[in-house]
Amino acid sequence: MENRPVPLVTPDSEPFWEACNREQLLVQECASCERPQWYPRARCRYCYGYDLKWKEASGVGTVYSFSVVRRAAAPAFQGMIPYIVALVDLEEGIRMITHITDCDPEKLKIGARVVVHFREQGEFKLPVFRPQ
Amino acid sequence: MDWKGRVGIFGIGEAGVGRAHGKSAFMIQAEAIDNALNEAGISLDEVDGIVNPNSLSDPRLRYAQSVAEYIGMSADKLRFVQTDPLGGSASGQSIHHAVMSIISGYASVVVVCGGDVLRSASGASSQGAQNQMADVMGKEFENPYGLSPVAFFALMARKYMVDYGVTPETMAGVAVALRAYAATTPGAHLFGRPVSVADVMESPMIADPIHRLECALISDGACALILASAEARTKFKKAPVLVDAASIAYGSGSGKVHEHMSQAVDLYTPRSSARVSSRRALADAGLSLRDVDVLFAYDAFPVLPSLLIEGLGYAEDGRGADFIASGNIALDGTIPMNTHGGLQGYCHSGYNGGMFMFTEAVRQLRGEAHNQVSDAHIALVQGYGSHISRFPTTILRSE
Repeated sequence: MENRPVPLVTPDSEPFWEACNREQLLVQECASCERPQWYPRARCRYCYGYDLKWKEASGVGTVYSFSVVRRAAAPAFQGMIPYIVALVDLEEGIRMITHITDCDPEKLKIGARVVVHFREQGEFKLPVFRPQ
Repeated sequence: MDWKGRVGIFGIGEAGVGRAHGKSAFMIQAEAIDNALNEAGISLDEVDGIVNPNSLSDPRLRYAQSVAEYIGMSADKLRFVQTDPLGGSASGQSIHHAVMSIISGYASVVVVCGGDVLRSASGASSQGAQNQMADVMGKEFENPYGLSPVAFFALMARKYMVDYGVTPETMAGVAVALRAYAATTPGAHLFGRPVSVADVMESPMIADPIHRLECALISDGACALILASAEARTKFKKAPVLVDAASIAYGSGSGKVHEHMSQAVDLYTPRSSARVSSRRALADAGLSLRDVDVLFAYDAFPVLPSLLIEGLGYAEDGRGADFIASGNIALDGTIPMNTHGGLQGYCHSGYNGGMFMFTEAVRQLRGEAHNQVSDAHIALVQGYGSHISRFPTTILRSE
């Protein structure tokens, strides 16, 4: 692990990262308007309410788009190339930046079903995905 | 908004385009400002405003003031000192802010300038640029995944290619068409060096599906523009190019705004936002797209201008890349675009890279461009900034 950047946790997102460290993927949902939101924050971006709840996600999603990165974004990622950066749509209705692992880059397609797992990075466990 | 005919660009200057030959970013900015002042026929002591989009390799909170200090601007005179740390949005917003300051009476003669030495940067400032690029990504949900700017545009390019069946050769053809203009523009970073589709396809893959020769250049370069009220024209040597209208759309131009890439509602915000922003600007200028003689569109990667021109209305959804790749932006094509070669071939010196669209637009509207569009009277500049989140449109007109 070459000192890859770890999440800058805020009070808004602390429960999310704590759950990741237990290998649980949480999605925030508004108790008033029932819409999910990503990233976690203290206030609903749709109805402006403050009554938000955490819901455990199924961990299943589909690939919205992806790129096989062959030149690292920063020196810390050099040892990881090639790595697959993706936007994944969770069943719960949010879209997140993540990695696709355990996958032949030539075979991955937009729309592929993927499932979450967790990868250690520093003191954190980052949600990443692999083909289902 | 009624800007029509009120503010003009009276002088432009460039320096160190492509390579600064050992000069610092401040030195080449000073030279660019001097060149612009000489064109305008005024001295620095007549300038009371400065706008600057900051530097990628050497970012400073008060960068515009650092430039003002370096070149020795007068505190007796200065009224408006504005650092616009808005990434690529200097491809519009810095000009807009200068116009706003002049129309409001806050300042009267404003220099919009920017410059950087990304190509020749020493190890320290090269690291500074890398840190900046990493820093502009989200610190919590993007940085830990090594999402580089190229990777982000690669997500967009792949989605576009899959959704619309666009081939890698067509995407490469966009870079070829843009770089062709640079090859015939003396002083351009890639002057005399056209590329072919095969060259692009054989260049290393940086973030699949984006090849190296589809990435914006890494250049040195500085530019400056002198803006003032059109009513003050008698004090200048040159006739003005007028900034007739401007608008900006955020996010996708509707719904929720975003700042981080992962918050964009989809990856096609360049199209939806350019549509919103350009329609407002054209309406304010009392023009339609047919009136535009020369077009500029931010071209960091082929997918970006492809989507922007779809939003502007030159091509159907999914046909923008093919439009650009198949000759429509050539001098004898449907709408000449980025006639200097853009960020792909002319100069990409970081945050001010998009400002070269304005210096070239001014040359076109004066009839002084190397790749001159005949009878160019109206230019539309479709800018872009930060994480597909800001899309400024500017309409320029010759008198």
